[in-house]
Amino acid sequence: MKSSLDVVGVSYRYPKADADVLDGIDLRFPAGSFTVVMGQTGAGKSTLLMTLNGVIPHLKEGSLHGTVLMDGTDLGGFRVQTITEYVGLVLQDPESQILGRTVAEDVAFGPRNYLVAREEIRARVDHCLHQVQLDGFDDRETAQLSGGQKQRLAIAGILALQPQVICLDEPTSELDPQGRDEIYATVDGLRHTGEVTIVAVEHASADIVGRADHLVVLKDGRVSWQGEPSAFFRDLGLVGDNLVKPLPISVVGEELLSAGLITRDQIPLTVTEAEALVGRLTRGRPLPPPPELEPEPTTTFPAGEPVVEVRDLVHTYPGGHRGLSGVDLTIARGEYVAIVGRNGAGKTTLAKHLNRILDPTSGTVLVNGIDAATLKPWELARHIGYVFQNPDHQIFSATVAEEVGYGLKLAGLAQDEIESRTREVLGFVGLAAESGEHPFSLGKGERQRIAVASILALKPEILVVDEPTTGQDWAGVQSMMTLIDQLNAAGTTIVMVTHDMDVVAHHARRVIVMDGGRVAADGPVADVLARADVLAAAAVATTQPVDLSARLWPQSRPVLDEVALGRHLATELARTRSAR
Amino acid sequence: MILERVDVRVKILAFFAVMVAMFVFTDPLANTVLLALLLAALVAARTPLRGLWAMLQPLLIVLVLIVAVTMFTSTQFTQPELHAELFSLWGLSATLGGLLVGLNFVARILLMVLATYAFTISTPIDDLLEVLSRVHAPYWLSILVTTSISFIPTMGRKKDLIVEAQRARGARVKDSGPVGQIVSFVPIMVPLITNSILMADNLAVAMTNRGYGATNAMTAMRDLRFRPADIAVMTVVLIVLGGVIWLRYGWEMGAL
Repeated sequence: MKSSLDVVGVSYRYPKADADVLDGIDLRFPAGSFTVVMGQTGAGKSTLLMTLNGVIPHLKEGSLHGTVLMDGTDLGGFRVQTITEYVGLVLQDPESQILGRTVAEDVAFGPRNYLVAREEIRARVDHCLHQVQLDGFDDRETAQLSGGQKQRLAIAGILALQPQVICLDEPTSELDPQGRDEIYATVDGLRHTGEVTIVAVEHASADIVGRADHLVVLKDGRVSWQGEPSAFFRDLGLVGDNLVKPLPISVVGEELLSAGLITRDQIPLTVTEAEALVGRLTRGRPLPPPPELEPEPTTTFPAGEPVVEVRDLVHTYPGGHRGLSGVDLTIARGEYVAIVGRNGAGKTTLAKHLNRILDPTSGTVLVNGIDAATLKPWELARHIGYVFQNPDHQIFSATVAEEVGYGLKLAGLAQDEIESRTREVLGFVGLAAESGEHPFSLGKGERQRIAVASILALKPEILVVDEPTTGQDWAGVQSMMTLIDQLNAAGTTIVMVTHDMDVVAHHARRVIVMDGGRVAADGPVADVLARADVLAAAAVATTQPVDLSARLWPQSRPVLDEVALGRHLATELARTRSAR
Repeated sequence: MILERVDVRVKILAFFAVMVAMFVFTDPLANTVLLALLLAALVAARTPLRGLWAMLQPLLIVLVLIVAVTMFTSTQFTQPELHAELFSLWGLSATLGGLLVGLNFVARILLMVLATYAFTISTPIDDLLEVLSRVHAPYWLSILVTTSISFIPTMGRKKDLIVEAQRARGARVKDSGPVGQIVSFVPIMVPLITNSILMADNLAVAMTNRGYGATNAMTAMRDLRFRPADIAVMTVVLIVLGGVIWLRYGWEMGAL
């Protein structure tokens, strides 16, 4: 059974808000289709999903206008518990959706509420766990699951109600590439059965192209564009206007388009398409590779002295799990280092040794030549700042300024010094106007800036940033990375833990690939990204421009920047064309 | 573990029988015999006793203090020879009866710990919930119990993350003794509370999304069934309890 949903003139305003978060939405989700909803943070994506199964208005206050129809029936008069048997909603945070101690118990929670017979529930649990590739996990404790497994369990919990429409709110935003693949394998499986209509909110552009039937782009609570995903991603002006991340490979295509070599509908959306396109344009003749550039020095400053030296570092967690098994590396002043690798590879474990959140089981960490073990964590905090992924784990003050001043107060600074530094750092992160606001009245991106500011106020020489772009929209990614780039340009050594390889390619100068608690590769970004075998073994994806340049010129250093690659291709292709 | 297979209702009965028996006896010797019997029964049922030490360790100092205090403070005894003074300290006299009262308290606490330990390690939470639903407890109560239990590890991880985040800003959590603990209390507790509120809000939506509240009950996923072995265990428990009462009140044994 599958059903269609129609959204007719839906507007919604949160209590005490000045403007509608949804402003006259008209949409149709045809039966059996897969629709993706994109748009910047605050565009109304999550709110839209919540109106589809009645969470809005039944569980959230505020004013709702308009109707949602399922196969022509107005859902307005029904309770959430009634609608959810037809329209299921998987929320963003899997952690707060798991309601059972074991996996099987959790999946059974839904059908038990409807007094489904026990044998039927058991059959549904088996079937749904199979659908999300968690076969045999029945008796596993939910607390022991990985992020990707939890997310899939949350999907199974909704599937057990056998809904005809399933809505997924950013199902992959907190996951590593492997976890993302697992979720999309699940979505592909659901698509294959053709039993359900799927609506998903998603930021990751590359995963959607070739998968979704229909793309809806929201901006400021309105539908700003809808249609075939490929048509959207081929129009970079449109992508930019809607603050969506462009596909890097389409940027290469855009350069060929503006050189007059191809038409808009020939812009490639995958690396394979791009390779075929270049092959057609050259008629099989080889293209000269881009001129070999000297690798960029990994430090901006002349051979900086080492600030962090890690010697034979081993960390064993209580319970015997090996987090790190023998890591050696040196980071010099002014470097911009990215640490990449799959979940559990030891990235964060390594980073947490730098400011003694974790202590070595054996081996040493030297900071500015001093053994970190001899320093107290609060002494280290002045040399090494550590920005965590979730700002909400540290915010406790009533105003932004107090929050930023907390670390300074702990460091024992005088009140006027605290105030002047707070003002300075809030200006730097662009929150000067918000200094008297309550942190929780601001958006997540702004709260993340508060967290960064509260660390920067201590003026650390080395800044460790854990997943700075996870869960952020394209504009948030851009502004956060601009901030980090500025800090590095001002002399701060940056160590960044991330999954986002496009961010690595564009911002870092050195990359360390972790795998199984060891360093699998370490060097300038272009050199490491060229080593496809090492990356594949460590489950790290490469970027589209690197992939394309490796396919075109396997012997040369790959091009990191899509614009540079596009321009080079455009120039060379124009030359071969005029030579004919 | 044989105890795991015993019906939860029989275990509850046995648990209460131990509680009654140890208050019937006031003589430490009698309660020590009871303790030995219980321990022997648990060992015979191949109950793993490794986790027991962890429960007892923090109690040891309390047990010593109890004996030390009751030695001097207990004064009401039925038998005159119990008033005999053992020694005196700063004008307070320690009596033989006081010592025995203290030891009896210790024996009772040990019995309670042992019984609780055996009950908790052998009883899955689902069994308890099933009993709750049998006695017609409202079903939200079982949901309350299960969600609270499944959120303990989640909240524990949240707390660790918050402590790490505040330490990275220079907060002196756990490095500076009790004073530091209090100074850093607000920066830890406030984010923990705000995070729990946010999570609770999500949880409410998530539960409704899964149909919680659609009906006034939930499908029971397991049955409780008495087996002959359960009847046998129950009979033994009742005979022992009857014996205890008979010894105490029929023969005036086991009292100080």
